[in-house]
Amino acid sequence: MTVSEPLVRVEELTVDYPRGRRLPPLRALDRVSVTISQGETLGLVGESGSGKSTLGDAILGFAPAVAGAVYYRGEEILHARPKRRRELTRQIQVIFQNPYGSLNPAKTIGETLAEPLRFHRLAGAAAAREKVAEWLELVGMAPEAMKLYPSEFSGGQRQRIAIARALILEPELVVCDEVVSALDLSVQAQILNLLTSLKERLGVTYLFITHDMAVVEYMSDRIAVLHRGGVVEQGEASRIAANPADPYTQALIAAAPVPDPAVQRQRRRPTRPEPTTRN
Amino acid sequence: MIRLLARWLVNSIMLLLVVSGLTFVLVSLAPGDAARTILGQRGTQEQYLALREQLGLDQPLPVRYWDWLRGVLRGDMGESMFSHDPVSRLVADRIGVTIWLVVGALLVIAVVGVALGMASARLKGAIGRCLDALSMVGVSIPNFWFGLVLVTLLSVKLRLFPVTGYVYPAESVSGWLRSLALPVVTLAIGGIAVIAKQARDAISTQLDQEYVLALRGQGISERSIVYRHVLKNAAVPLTTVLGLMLIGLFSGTVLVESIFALPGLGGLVVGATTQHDIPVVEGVALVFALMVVTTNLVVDLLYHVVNPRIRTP
Amino acid sequence: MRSVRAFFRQPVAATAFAVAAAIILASVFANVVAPHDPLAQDLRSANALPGAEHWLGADTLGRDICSRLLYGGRITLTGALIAVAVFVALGVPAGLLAGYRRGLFDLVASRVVEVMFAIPVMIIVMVVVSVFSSGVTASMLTIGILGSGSLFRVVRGQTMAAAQELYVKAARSEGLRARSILRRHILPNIWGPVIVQTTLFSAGAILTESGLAFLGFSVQPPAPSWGSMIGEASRYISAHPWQLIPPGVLIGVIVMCLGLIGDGVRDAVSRTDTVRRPGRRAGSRRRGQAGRPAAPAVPAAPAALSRPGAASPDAASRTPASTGAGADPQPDAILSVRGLTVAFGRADSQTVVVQDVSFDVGPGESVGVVGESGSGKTVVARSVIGLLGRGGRVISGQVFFDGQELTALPPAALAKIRGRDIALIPQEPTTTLDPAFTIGKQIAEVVRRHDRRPRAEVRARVIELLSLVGLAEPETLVGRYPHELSGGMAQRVGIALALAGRPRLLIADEPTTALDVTVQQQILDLLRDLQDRLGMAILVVTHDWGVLADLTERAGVMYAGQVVESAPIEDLYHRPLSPYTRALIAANPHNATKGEPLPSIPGQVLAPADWPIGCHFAPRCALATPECSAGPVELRPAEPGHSVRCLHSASAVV
Repeated sequence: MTVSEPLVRVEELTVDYPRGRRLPPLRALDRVSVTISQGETLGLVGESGSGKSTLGDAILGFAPAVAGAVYYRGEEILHARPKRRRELTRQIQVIFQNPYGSLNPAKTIGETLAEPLRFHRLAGAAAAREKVAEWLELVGMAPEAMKLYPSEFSGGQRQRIAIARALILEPELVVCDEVVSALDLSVQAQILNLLTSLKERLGVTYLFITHDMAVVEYMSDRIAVLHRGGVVEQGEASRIAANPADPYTQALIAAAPVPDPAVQRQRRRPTRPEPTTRN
Repeated sequence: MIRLLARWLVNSIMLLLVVSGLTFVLVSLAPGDAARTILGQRGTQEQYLALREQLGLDQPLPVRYWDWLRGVLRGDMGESMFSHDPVSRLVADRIGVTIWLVVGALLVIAVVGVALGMASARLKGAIGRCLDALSMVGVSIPNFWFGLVLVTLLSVKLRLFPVTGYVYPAESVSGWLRSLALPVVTLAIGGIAVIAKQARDAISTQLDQEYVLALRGQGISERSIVYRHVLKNAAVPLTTVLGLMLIGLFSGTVLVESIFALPGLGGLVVGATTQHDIPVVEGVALVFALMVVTTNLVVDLLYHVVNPRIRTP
Repeated sequence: MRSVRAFFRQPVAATAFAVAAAIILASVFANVVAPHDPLAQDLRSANALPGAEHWLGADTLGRDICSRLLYGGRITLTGALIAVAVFVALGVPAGLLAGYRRGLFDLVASRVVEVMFAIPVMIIVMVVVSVFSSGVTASMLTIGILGSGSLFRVVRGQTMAAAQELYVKAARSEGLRARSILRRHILPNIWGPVIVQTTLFSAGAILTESGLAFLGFSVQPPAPSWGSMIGEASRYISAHPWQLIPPGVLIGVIVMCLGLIGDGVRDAVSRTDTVRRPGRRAGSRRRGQAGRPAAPAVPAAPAALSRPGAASPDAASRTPASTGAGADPQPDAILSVRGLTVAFGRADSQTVVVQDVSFDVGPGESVGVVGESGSGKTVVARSVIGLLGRGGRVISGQVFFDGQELTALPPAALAKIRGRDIALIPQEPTTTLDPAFTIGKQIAEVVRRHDRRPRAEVRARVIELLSLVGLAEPETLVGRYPHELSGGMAQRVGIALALAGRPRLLIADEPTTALDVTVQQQILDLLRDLQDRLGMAILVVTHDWGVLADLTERAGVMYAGQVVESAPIEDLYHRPLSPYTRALIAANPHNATKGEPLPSIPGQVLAPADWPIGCHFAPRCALATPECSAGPVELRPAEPGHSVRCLHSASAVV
């Protein structure tokens, strides 16, 4: 790997989802190029249908890419063989939005967390248990949690467990797909802080996908704004938040109401908007 | 609409070919053939071979199937091996009874089942639990046994209905209704229980939907919410279940017509099966498949009416 | 296994299992159990009724009915077993393969099954019986094959659903092979439905076998089977009706037991697998040990006291309504809520979810209720218009609308108020509309409900309403169905429906939560515009401080069923008095400094059943002292128009 090679380089990636025989495929991503450097957090922001989750899926090998390439440390992984793909899972991990669906309800937390360790033959039963306990503490849970089932935990607690599962292999890149969208404000802050402290500790790289401009600005070093399957703007997080260049980014930032009533009153558009047909 | 009809046509042709082909293959697998059955033990080998040729049994299976199919398309389904009546006439004489029986049972199932389901969904508590228990009993008891119990109580002891037999509507409408009453109830009993449960679930599900809350918030009367909005939405899954149930009802006629000695297709096929009268069995199987195909079309069209989501993809 | 334990913990299912097992075992060991030889004729006891000699009586040939039933079970149950074996052997592998691999196999198999569903089973069985006359084997094989389609569909559907689950995606991202994923993550989630289907099918197979035996297409006489015994009895129903009873009841009992077992398995599986939202029993009980340690603030209050609803509903509700306005409605307010307390559950075990909530909305005013999930904000909004749903009721407090006490009205009178005086915009725009009716029909129904007029005028009013909410081409829109609309359009239609009765108060429950941010902006603009033009009051329920800032003038902050602070929103945002409000605003990433940790609130919201008697926020509060937990804390005015429910609010102002 050369010094200049980023951790992940996505080049001209195009993804089509088939929609049955009668409809043309849905183009979720259209010639998207982004790079993620080691140790940084790249924020991916956009509305529903923008393709932000598809980009995460493509890096994980879950999306039907029709053109383009994804390089991981210089190695093209979009067309990697299944065996290589499985090896890559030690380096690339994921945390999902819905903390209720991402843990198998039929397995204890201990079984779920030990699974990646056992699968990659990184630990025997006893060592795995020790490691699981250690990680539960790292994410702010009591080790006794490993004997319980997901249904016994709240959304925030499940998200902590999901974070432990993603990080237990100590990967280099973690795709965080809307990880706090389902959580309340006070729990969201807990989870964001946990992600930040784990990053400082492990030096992991995040691809942070969200629809929330305020969250993405707080979490990211750089931001890429997606709209209808394309990147409309990318750059330093503070620059994009303060001084967006693209009209869509400007609209996105202007649309989200801010909590300060005085500021929001200034931002309000004059009422009586012209009729809209389709959103 | 065109798409729906095209799909129905393809499915129907497949079903008819499968049923008739399956029947044909099964028959050809039988130990011994029709010629042997007709001749019995007495026939000589020459007589046997001659009859085989006469019946076309020496031809290979696909050829025989094709011949039979061509005959069917001309309305010729062969003749009974015993009475030598044409199968088409046997069927034509009896199909009315079976259709009335099935249609009657379906109506009873739909009306009583949905009413019970509605009651159970809206009246929680003791009445709801009672209806649930009744529905459990309803699906569990064998319907032919229930029919016999009905006959024992209502016909033999109380003499309210004829024990067996069928009165054609041309003879007496009230007699016809009385002769069909117990068979219809017998055929419907399991279906009522199933539909009551399904309707209960469908209606409860609909009552918990957000739109019901919204309708209440808009001040729409409870009557309109339940009978206009909820029922129409619940009809979508119920139509599918009723469609599948109809196929089960055709199966059910076999038993019910035997108990009540009704001169329908079910009774015909039981008799033919007992005698191994294969042309009749084949013919009746095909006619049942045709009836299924027709009802499927009706169900598809109905589904189209109740569910706007499939009308506009 | 958790599910096995859950199954046997259900008394009905466990009993059904025991009865079915007893019947099956008795048949298997009929030679040991049966009191008589099933074929032995004893003409002296012909047609005997039940007695000491023949427990269930004897048939026309004097054979013991009980013994015949036990031996007959062998035939019937063997037949059912054959059918079930075929059913499982075909349905499960084919369903798994089709559901997980999809592709051509799935396409073909699904079509085949579609045709199989349309085949009248009994007719094909008749063909089979007419061809292979021998016994039950051929017919039961046929039933198993034709029935396996239903199992195929269930397994395929479950597999497809499981394959979509995030935890399967997670397992793939852990690098698990397809085989391991099937075995470890998919199979454990489909065996429940498979058992349910199989018990139901075996019940059906027993019924079908009995039917065939009844018609004489099973074992040859004199060997007994349940169905043939009914057949024999049916010949003597006028003289000896009793003989009909034992076999019919026995079949009914075992079929019912199988059905109950199926229901029990379904319940056991769903009970152990369903997601419990936070705040349900187990979650909250274990939170102390498993979760992040909550602040050790709750003193050892007696358990009964910490559950105000369960132990003494009155203790909770007796706290005086305490906005400073007393119990009387504010005279100029259009809506006044006083000491509202709402509980769910049966009266003897009810849980209070909203406690002593009071607020006012003036004519044309916009008031917000802001809170996190579980705060009770939606319950407040719904109880205002009497739409609490099953099990929910106002146990104390009043709601006044325009001086009229809504909480004292009979349901029918309250229904008249809804839509006409107070209208509701629910949360989820796409599910709020009835999918079976066109937009035009739905709005027309509401219009007609509120003022009777001729058809043409109703239509004109519908068009007017659609234009009012900024929808273009209302004439074509009236013919559309809800599923043809985008989320933003659906929410506009929802607003049009709410406006149809010209309400003076609009209750908007999270009106934009389900929408994208640019669409949210349009809806917020529309609501403000409509309020300017129509002059109605709006009560907005939201978790989003941005929505609050955009729409409202005053707001109440709710935490764990109580209003903890209420004030004009500028004061609320810039000078919050409650530690909870302060912490919540600080946790908002809008206010975060990059590179510094977000100020977060430790622990989580307690479930209603676990609310302490004192300050509900005390267990998580940095300022909590023993007094906070000693007794109920009241909402008291701190300054004009600004109330707070905190003993330490003075020290909260920094």
